[in-house]
Amino acid sequence: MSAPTDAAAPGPVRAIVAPRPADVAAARCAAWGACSDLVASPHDVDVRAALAARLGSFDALPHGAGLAALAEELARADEARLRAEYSGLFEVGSEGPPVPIREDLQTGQLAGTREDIVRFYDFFGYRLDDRFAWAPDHLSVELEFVHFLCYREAQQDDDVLSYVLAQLDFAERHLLRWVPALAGATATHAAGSLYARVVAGLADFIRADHAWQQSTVGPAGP
Amino acid sequence: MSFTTDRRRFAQGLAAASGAALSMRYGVAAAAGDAATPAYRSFEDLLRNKWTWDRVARGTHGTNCAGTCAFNVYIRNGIVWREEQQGMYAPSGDAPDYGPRGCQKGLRHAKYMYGPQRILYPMKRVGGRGEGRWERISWEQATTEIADRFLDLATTEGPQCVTYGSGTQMSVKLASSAGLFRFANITGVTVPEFYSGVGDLPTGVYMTLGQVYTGDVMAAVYKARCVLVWMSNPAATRIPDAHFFWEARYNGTKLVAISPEFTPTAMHCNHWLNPKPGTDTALAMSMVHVILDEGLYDAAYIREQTDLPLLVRLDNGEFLREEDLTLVGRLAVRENVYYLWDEATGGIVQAPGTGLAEKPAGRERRRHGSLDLGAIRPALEGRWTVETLDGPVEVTTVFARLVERAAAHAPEKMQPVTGLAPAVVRKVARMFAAVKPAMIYTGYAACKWQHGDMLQRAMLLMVSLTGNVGVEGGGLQFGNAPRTRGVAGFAMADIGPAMRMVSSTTWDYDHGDFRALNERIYGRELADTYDRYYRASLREDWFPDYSDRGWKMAFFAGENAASWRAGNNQWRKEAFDRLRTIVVLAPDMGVTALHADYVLPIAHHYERADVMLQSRIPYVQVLDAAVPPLGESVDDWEANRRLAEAISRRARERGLGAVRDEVDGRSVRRDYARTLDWYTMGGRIRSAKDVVQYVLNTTPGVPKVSFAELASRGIVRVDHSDSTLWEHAGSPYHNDVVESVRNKRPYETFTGRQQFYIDHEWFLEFDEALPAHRDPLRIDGFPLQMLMGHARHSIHSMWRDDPLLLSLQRGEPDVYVNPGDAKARGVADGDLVRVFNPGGEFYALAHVSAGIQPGMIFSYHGWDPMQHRTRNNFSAVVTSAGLIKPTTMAGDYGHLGYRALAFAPNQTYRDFTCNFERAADQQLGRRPAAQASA
Repeated sequence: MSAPTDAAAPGPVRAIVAPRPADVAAARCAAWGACSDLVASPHDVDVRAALAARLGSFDALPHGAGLAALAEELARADEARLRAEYSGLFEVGSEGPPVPIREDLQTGQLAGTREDIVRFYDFFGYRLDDRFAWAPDHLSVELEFVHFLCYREAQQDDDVLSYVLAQLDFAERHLLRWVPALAGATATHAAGSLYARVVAGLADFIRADHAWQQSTVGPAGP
Repeated sequence: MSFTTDRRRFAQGLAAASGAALSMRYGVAAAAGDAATPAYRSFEDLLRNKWTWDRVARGTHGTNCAGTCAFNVYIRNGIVWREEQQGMYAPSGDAPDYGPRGCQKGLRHAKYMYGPQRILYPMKRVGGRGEGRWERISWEQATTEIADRFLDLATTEGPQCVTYGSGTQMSVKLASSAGLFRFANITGVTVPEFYSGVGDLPTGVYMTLGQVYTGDVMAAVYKARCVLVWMSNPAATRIPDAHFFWEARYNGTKLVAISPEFTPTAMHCNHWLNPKPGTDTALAMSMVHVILDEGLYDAAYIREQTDLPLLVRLDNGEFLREEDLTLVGRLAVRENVYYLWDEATGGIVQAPGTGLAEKPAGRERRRHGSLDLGAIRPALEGRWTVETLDGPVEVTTVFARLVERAAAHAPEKMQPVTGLAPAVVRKVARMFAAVKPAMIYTGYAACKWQHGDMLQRAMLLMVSLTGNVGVEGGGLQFGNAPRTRGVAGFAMADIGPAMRMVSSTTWDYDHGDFRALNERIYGRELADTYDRYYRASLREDWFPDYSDRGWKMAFFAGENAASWRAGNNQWRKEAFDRLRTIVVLAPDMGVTALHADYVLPIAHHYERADVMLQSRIPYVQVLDAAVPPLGESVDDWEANRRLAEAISRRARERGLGAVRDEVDGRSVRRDYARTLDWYTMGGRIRSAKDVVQYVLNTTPGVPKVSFAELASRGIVRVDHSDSTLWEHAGSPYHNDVVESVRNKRPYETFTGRQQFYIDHEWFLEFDEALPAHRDPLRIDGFPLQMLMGHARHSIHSMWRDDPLLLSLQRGEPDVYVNPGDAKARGVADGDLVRVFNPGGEFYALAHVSAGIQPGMIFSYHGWDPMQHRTRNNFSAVVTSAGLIKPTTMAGDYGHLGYRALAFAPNQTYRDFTCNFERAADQQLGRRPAAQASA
């Protein structure tokens, strides 16, 4: 695993080559928001209530079925069990949490990882509250940022292409680089557990969403 | 992540046009229509804006390397991204300045503080101790449960069975220390002092000078003309200050490194002496002999400042005292009147500066007494007959006895002991004595040998005989400490003294059953002998007896006790593991936290307000909070405030009345319902910043600046620091020795002088009235003496697991072994070896080095057991914790007797042997996680 590189030669000028209607953006906005809730800490957030309020967020997306079922399961889960499983995997441990849920830690604290994330956030005016600022690389935060980009895309009253390309690049430079590995590590430590299935489902969702996004973006015409 | 549902916000509500809803709990979005987002077309666009900082904070690393290095800490978006050395130091006199200060550990912290080892949330053990199964709990749950456990004990068995241990991470942060002491003072918990507990207390210095503070600023090294760097390795352990040694050498100063192993310091010195491990006293006394034998001593200095001209009875080896001569003296009205032989009058005369009242009644003795000899011409050698109440008695001088003692340590006689050629020893002794000022720069390893006190006494002989004690650029450079009346004052303000500070060494001896350890390792005779004297000292009330205090609950803050305790296996089994409740307050995981029942997350260096005052540089240094504490961590002040709040709340809810307590014979009323009120001084102290301000305002020698100003400047020069010597009473540091030398004020010793001869009955019994070499203890069948030293890449266990720093070493714990010893065991460089003795075993990589003598192994310390296969580190084979030598428990002798942080037995960390062998299975255990990621 290497940090996002800035050394690549500039690619071709990109453009939206297939329809991305506002209602799809709105549906994706809702889904990414639910994704963020799925991996929020139940010690800090009433995750069950949050997800209960978002049930149906994945329904409009063809690749959201798996997460929809997990969201329902999680919304019905015992709170104490959720807390114990989440913190035992992602938050506390004798040598740090068994499976850190932060990109920087999953990828070996490489120089440039967090800076790239923060530059994304800064560029698009997504500013973390002071209390959360120390962890811009937390999975739940990264997913909220995608939710935010989708919202801006759905508004359709700005430079939509910017938000579309940012979603694509953020997935490639960050989410795709580490969430599949996170899913593997979670499965290793807690095979079959609820959160192992949640993270695996998220990894699938990210891949599927990225594939769809790639189908809508291509080289700009002459 | 840390947030609560009520922070959830719907920043912009529904987007009418699309039906999309923005719901964010972590971020705040610029509203639509606000400053337009520039067009994004590729990731390169992210990089077009110049990276700037939101703020640059001043800070340092609150760890006990004595560096106190001023750093600029660069912050953007609430994250510390990097740090760099602040510089901006001025010099002392004509010595080079102190800047820039810093090292690779400090420059790594911006990364380390976000590492996986960070403790971010309160944790409660859910599995067996040490299993590593935890649940995250809230601060309220944690403090409530801890408070209940504390109150259960405090109201039934008394608060003394609860300890609040702290270590070097705590001691250097004055506000944190002050808060901890205040908490302990209010609650009555026992505070085991760590100074002797880690084997750092220079008891030999105290025996000789009546105090333990003999250090100046590091620039003093530059002023020396000859420096013996002895039991110290500043090239690795004093990185910000090592330049003073090299600059001194360029300036013509002779540097001599003295260490059994070849160190990074030795390679830069003019000479390197490599005595066999544990024979340093023999070497020092050899050089004392050369100085005496060749007349290289400063006779005028020692006549005035030392006990060397005092008369000693030849019949019983005791000083000639007034009780020998008069009935008044025999009634012990004045038991500290000593005599000289005056060559001017040809008779005995009372030594100036003696016969003054002892403390506490005699606190002013230094002001009123004088060492001025006037017309007296004390003889240094000779034998005379003195008429005593018991008849004629032959007397001589301490000096004469020293000449005899030193002659027994002549270089030729000690060659089989030290392994050093006499010609080399003589050459260095002459070099040292030939110039002024001359200095012995030493480290705390000198305290870790069982007979380290005699080494320090011998070192002091070298610098005193040559007139170098109390001189700029000279003397024995151990360390100094601020006269932190601010810290003590804060601990006791509005309350008075009600704190229990105890000797860690004797506390552990009692609670860890170290007599049994001594018997198992060193045999019954030694164990019984040492224990007999130990019990006698307690019986005589020379030292406090803790054996009737149970130990039921422990807090640990700013220390990693289970990593370094000598006799660790015994201590863990007999004491640590038997505790009902263990609470650890720490920023990072370590083996002590691993075994805790509750772990409370503590803010790291850049996340807290505090102040540091270290005598090696003449500056007060701020720690300003560059960013809020990560996760749910808080600083130590706040953690103790939350504990105090929970104790108060639960005491009220449980209807607990005040508890009668007794401390040092004083009756104390402890109303636990008022704990928080007392802790915060009725709400006047609201944060660590307020504590810092209190300490700044009340510590002598510190400019009266506000915290805000200090935070703005980072460092502020302390008062009276123009020279490289702490010579002024208005400075923050102890200047007593300089005062004695310059103004002829008596020392705080029994004789009122630099006291090299101690005629306490135990010292006479063990033939330690004057220093002498003693062979280090060995364990039968285990041929290798093991030494340890501070590491280049960590400060104790702090940063020991940093992946980058590990990558600069071998990636995992290693031990240095001699090539011949390795070959004899079939071990090659890099092999995994088992190091073992009857105390235990640990595994490490063999680091085969020609810099290691045959018959020894060496381990840089700080490796946490969690970094080792089988989770045992060096402390598993350190078997010497119970070696409390009788003379360090002596009392009823002027300045000797228990005095916290001054005179108490050190926990011994040497005087054992071990062996190593190639590990049978290279794959033994899993590789430690930290180095695996490296």
